[in-house]
Amino acid sequence: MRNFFRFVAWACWSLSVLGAAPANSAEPASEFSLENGLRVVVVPDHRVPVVAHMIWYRAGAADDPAGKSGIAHFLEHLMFKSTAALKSGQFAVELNRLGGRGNAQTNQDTTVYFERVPRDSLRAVMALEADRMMNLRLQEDEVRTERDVILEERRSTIDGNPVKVMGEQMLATLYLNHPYRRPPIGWGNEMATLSQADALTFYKRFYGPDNATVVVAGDVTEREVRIWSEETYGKNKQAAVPMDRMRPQEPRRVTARRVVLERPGSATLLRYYLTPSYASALPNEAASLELLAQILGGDDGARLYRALEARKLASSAGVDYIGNALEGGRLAFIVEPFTASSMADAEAVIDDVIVGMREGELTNEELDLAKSTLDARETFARDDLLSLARLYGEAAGVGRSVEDVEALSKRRHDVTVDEVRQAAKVYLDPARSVTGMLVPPKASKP
Amino acid sequence: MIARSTPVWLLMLAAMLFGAAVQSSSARAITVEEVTTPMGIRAWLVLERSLPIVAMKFAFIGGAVQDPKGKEGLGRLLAGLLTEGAGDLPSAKFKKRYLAIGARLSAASGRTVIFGALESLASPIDEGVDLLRLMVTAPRFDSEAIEQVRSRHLSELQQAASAPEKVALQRWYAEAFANYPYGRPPNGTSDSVASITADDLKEHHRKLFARDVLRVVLVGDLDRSRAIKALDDVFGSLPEKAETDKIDKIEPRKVEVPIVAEMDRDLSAAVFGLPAIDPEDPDFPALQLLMHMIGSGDFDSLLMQEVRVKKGLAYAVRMNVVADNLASVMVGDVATNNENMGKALAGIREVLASAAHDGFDARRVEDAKSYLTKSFFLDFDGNAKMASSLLTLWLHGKSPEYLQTRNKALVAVGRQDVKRVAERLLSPDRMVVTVAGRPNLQE
Repeated sequence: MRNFFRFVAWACWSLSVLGAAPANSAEPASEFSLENGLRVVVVPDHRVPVVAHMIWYRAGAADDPAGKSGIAHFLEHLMFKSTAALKSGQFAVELNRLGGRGNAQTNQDTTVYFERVPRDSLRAVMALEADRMMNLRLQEDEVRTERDVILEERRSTIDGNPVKVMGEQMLATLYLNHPYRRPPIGWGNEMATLSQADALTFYKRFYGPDNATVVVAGDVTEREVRIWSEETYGKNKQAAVPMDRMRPQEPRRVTARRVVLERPGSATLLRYYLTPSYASALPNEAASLELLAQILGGDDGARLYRALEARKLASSAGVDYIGNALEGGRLAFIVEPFTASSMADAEAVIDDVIVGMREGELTNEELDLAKSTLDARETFARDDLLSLARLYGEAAGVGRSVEDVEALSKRRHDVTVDEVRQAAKVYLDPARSVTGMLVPPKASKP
Repeated sequence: MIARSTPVWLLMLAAMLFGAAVQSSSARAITVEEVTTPMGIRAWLVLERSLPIVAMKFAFIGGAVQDPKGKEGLGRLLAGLLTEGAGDLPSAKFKKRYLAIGARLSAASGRTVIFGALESLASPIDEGVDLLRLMVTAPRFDSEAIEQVRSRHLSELQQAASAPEKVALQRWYAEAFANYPYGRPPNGTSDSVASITADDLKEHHRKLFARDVLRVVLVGDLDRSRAIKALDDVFGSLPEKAETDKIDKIEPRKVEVPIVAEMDRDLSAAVFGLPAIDPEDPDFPALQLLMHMIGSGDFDSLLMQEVRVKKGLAYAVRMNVVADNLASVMVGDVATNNENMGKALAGIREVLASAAHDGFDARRVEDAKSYLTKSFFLDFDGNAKMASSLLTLWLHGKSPEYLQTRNKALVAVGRQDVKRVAERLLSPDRMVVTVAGRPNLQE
């Protein structure tokens, strides 16, 4: 009887959360396309007179031609230089004058430019983005200076950060053949050779309204966004961007692999397992992988941290499902052991937790907790406008629709214990894994 | 291109609809209510009903400057332990309870305050409020939890010791505020952290957590009476007055040459800074404009123009006002390969000197005003962000009216005011510089 009531309580609670997630959607998210092929997603939210505006190009680091790793990212930097209408660097000046802040990011399959602006500046920001979508002008000297900047960026954000270096080496090991094995920023030796012509070739091939999605979240209506996007982006000519992105595919996995990196600093243990992504997974599979990650290591209440804490082996531990790419994702384990000497024990705990997941018990209660935790996390993600826009934009960037995003939260509720265990059996397979150990050099002090 | 051939009548209709849409969709102003609860808790309240979440953010004024000598890091450890068990719930049970309702409880410490926050779904809210009450009034400090948090804390200290930008920043405060509590490392040292006991933590909590030093902001989907009751439930039973040491306001001292913390790295990181003025000072709006133009970190800011765009020496360089109830400073940072550090620092000095000497052209000042006034609400575009921004304003001694007066004060600043403030504050000989790495300081 007690269990029954508990079940009822859980069910009601889950329902209330399910009802709560899109509660701000008195006006729901919607999408439409312009004649020139640009897709537009609108997510109204009227709390403050601010909007987040993002444009996602379906072109990223995995589209870098062989030998030109880093060109998508280099172009992202150069997009802040001159256009036919704007002097070099003037984009940022105009954006500031409009009261906006912005930045850009290059991912494996997408390049995104984003701004947050007062609502009254939205149309002007759309005009700026529409301009640089088509009219980029580059000068040889600014290209050279900016190349020094990306090399410096690499030095300071990757080379100077042992965990990042480790992550880079692990991806290069996880993927044997697919371009996801290359870092989005590029390999240093190839970055040094990137030219103005390389950047413009990439720009002309991939940038155009028919290869982009605009997401606007905030104090606007769909009607306003329709009008303003017609008046700005709508004037750009279709670019006939080739849609096929055939890339070398991964061969059959044969064996687990290991990467050991000696660097001063504290010890870190990482493990990646190759999985499908949201876009490439079967319908319930991505939802199962999200839940699997949450149950294994979504927070300090999850299995991995509790197991490590019980043996006082690690100061922090987590598992994340990273699935926002087009063709592949990963389950990523990260553990910070107290000392380098507890690394082996910590790794044994990861293995135990995985065996427990593949073969041991998983209760409905534990699964329901994971579901409601992910629901709550999604509600919180809707709090901040940029993260609200990102929720839809990340999906759009790999060809998923508003409906797909909202279906995922619903689908999560249908996932069964068996599906989660099945995902664990298939994907937490040693042959799909790379283990990374970041350890201080033996000679140096701990 | 087809869009251009839209018939005129359709465009007119669109314009009409659009006009109507502007009125109907425009967000309402943020309404902050200053309340005093039946139990005497003063709070800022924003009843924001459109998203079913609640953010409660608070600060106890105290922080690292209240750590006893030799026990540096005590406030930090205390904050770390608040979420590790309270009342009759040991750590694991406490966490399980708040994770089960999807809530987030957190605490952090700074140089002059200890922060805490609850972010919860609006329904259920009771459980989150009750757990926050336990966390604030009855943290357990179990020995196992203490050791766990201490180990994490020690490994963070170790990690920070290998990160040049963190080493340079800590060294900057140590040099600029030598021999004052304000300059001591807020996270402590491995020795001081190792020496902290459960009794130290209990005593520190008893002294610091009181109603007179509490500032709390609640933004979220609650009705007014529930919000007020939540505040009383959480904070009502705290003592009235904190037992804090009296600490005077302080300015950075003069340090003639760059101080180098040797680290075996290809890259070195520098922190540079000068005395500033308090947020209450009538010249503060002019200082905000000045700092934005120089140090915003945007491509067109003067430091970025000089160091990144013109010379390609660094990826980022910023400078900002950092103010609290004890000090106000302008602090900046830059990282570059060792070889270029001297050149980068020379570029920074040049920018500051020229700002004080030549002032700014009218266009740049107007652009800065336009940005700072129009962008103000970007810091409020979410319940949690709104709560944090309001709490920061309150800690800066502002009242909710500031939301209305702030932009007017910025608009009223003249170009000459900015130059005057630059002359007053940007004297390169007052600049304290610390560098971590193996820098070549040759200009």
